[in-house]
Amino acid sequence: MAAKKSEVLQGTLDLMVLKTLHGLGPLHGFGIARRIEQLSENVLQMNEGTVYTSLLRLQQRGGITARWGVSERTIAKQSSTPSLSAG
Amino acid sequence: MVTWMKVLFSRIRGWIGARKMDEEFAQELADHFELLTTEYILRGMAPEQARRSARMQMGGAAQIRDEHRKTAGLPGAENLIQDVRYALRTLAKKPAFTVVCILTLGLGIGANTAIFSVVNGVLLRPLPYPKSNRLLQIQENHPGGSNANFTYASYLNLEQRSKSLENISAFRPWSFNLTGESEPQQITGALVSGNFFAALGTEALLGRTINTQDNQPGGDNHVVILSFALWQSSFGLDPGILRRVLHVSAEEYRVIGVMPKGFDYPDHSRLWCPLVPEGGLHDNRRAHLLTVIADMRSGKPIGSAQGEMAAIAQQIETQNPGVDPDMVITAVSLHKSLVAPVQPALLILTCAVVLLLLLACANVGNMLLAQAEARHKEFAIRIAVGAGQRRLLQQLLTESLVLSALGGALGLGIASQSLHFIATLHADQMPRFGEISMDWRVLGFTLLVSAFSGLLFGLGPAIAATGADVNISLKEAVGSVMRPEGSGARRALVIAQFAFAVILLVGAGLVGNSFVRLLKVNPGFHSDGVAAIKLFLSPVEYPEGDPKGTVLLRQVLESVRSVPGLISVGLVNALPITGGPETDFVIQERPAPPPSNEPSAAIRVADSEYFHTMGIPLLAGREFTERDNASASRVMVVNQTMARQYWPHEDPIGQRVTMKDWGPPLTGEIVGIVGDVKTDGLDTNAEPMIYWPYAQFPQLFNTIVIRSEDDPLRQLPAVKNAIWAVAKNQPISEIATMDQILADSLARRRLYMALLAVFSAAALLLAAVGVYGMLSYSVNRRTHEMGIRLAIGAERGDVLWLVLGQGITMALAGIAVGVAAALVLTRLMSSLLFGVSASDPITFAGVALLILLVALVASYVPARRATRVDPMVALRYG
Repeated sequence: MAAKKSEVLQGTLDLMVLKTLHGLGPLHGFGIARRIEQLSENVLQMNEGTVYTSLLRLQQRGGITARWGVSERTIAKQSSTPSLSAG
Repeated sequence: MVTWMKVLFSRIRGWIGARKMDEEFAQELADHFELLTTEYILRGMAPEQARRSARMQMGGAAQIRDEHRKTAGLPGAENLIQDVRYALRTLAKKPAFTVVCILTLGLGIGANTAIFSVVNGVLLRPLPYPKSNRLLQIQENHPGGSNANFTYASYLNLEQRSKSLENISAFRPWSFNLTGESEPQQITGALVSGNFFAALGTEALLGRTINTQDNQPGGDNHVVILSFALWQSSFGLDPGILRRVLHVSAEEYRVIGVMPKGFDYPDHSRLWCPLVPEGGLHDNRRAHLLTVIADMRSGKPIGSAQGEMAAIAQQIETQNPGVDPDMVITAVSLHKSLVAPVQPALLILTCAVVLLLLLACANVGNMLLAQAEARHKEFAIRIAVGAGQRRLLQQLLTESLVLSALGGALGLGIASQSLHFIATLHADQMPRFGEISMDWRVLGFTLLVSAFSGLLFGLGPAIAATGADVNISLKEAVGSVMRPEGSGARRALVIAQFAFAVILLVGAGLVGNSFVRLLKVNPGFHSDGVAAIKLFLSPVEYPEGDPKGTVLLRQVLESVRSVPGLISVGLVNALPITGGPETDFVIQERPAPPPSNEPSAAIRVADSEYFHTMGIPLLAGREFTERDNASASRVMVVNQTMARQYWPHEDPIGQRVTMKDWGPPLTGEIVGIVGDVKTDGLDTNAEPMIYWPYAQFPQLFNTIVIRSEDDPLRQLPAVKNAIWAVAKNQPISEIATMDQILADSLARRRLYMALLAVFSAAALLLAAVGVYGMLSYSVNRRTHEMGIRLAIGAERGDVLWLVLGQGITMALAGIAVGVAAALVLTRLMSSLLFGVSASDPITFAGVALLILLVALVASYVPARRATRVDPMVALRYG
């Protein structure tokens, strides 16, 4: 059931996203999702769409900035390195 | 920047650009989906399975977008706007319900706003003087219970000895004759000590205020300060006013200042002159002429002066034994002492409007409960398709808040109109009524009251509606399940409405009853056809002890008597009803009472025609004649109360009485007894009164009374000319008929009665609408049941009584509760009552009967409709 997926706490996801960006530099949403999938070795089940909500939350708090950029195949939203001083 | 503010700004930006952002995000999700599908194909999945897995991995697109939208924007604001829109649409679809609700709430909120405006202006707002929060009035209290003014000597003692007060100042309300500027005018104002303006803290608009240099006897004390109103009306705002010299009471006074607009303390003053302690005033301990105000020294708490006042009173008494025995000096806030006469009534009116608002809320709450019952199906469906209970509650509360906001807007309009109405009811008889206005506090109050009542009447129905069992509601919609009839909450609300109405009606009834009784009180004189004209003789032209004043008055009386159309003309110093001077007296050839027990009496001077003109009956002895002049032996006439009180077993005529307080003691022989007149108002008891012939005890304040065959005001031009024919510069002011004076003395009571009557009429109407609404609704819902009853043989009369009985039962329950509550509450209003007890059985019974009758009429209409149910139709479509 979906219950398992939602057990990942909001704050945990935000932290994971932040950590990914800190380690790898600017990434778009798809890249972050892949990285998290990879790191958790497919143990963590989550709706990838929630990564975007997480990005939005971090952006609102000033933890990261966003810009539009072109990836290999299409246009996607890229997220830059977090400035750790903010937030 | 604080994080939450960043988030908020970002959300506001997101909310504004919501549409564009949403489209972009949809595009991004689509891209993500494409990439993920490709990724899965690369990992070896078949395209169909890859798409499926990608969709599962991403989660529902709609939910994600919804979540994103909520995070990006302001979901609360969005929901609110949506709810308000929905509420307006729902309300617009039921115009009758909406209009009744808004009117009901407008009435309740309007009444509260109006009364709060008055309470705010009179009780809450500080006095409009810079030092208002430290301003005290110092009073002498005497064992008789009356608050007396200060004598000049006591005032000086207080000023020299007090350490906790500063700017201790005295004033005496005074009239000034202003001549030389067109028509001679009599102007009310005050003689004030040098620190009077310093005590209030108000500065002059032009020039300066009076200071202690201006009060020196023999010094340059002929200076005058004008009010803004007088500067405007008599001098056209002349900018050179400070260089002018005015003829004030026949002497020349230099204008030294003009006060700012609105300053008129004490009591509508328009002119202020220095109070100069001349003519033995400074060591006078008998003439209680001065009102004393002072500032609490800064840093000391208000009220800490009390002990010091007691000590000073003690010293004064020890040093002047027997003058004012057992005198106590008290310090009260000037604001409190100014508004004390109206405070109890304002509190009672506040209670009344709160009751009215509760009633209005009960009424609207009841209608909303009925609405909620009718909308069960709608709510059930909304819950079934996923609306959260909280979301539903929020939406219902929004509906009630929209209703109460509309009601509040209407209430503001009603309130501002009623304030105009209140102003027309002789509002100048009330302290500070000129300062009443609708300021930001009143607006804030209205907002609060509206929100509060919206929650009050909305919360219950909303919870009841959203807590409903979805299954039952949905089934009921099909018609197979009957809900238990007339929910308990709704019956309780109707009963409460009746109870509130009973309390309000009893209150209004008692006040109205008191008013009727007051109108029946015999004032002791015949007011019809009588008018009074005040004449103030300037002390400079007519000094004390100089017979010139008496001569002038005799000439004036003779001249006025020659005016055709007048039945008689008399002279007195102070009219009945409006108060006047008093004196301590002793009866000759009787053991002197201890000084603390000296009797006192009201003191008047009159001429030979006064009693006849006013219709005051002569009971024994004789009236005054023209021969009772300054050279004849001193005589007096006393009233019936004085005769009964002091000579219960002997004939007062021929007894000798000495008056003590006014200059040297004056002894006279009683030659007549006249009927009592009400001295201080129709609601007071008659007190002992002594009349002197005007020639034997001349006064500066005089009043000519005329009795005319028709409207006495029509004779005024001729009377004025007759006065001016012998006294060229004599100002004539304050002309009123005795009927008007009587009406003015009841102005406050009339206002209270009018307001309570309006409130209780509104309460009765609302209660009637309440029971009518409840029964109509119940009859509509029970059409089916009525049909069955009629089909199996019930008479139409039975059905009629079934419904009527419901209404009457609720009314009786409401009356029982209301009467019990009223018995407790009306005790608080005893200060407004006259001649009726707070538990007057006739008023209570009358109110109960009225409520019952109204309930019967309001229930009859729906009951009647119930009997007209066609069993066939009801059974088929019910």
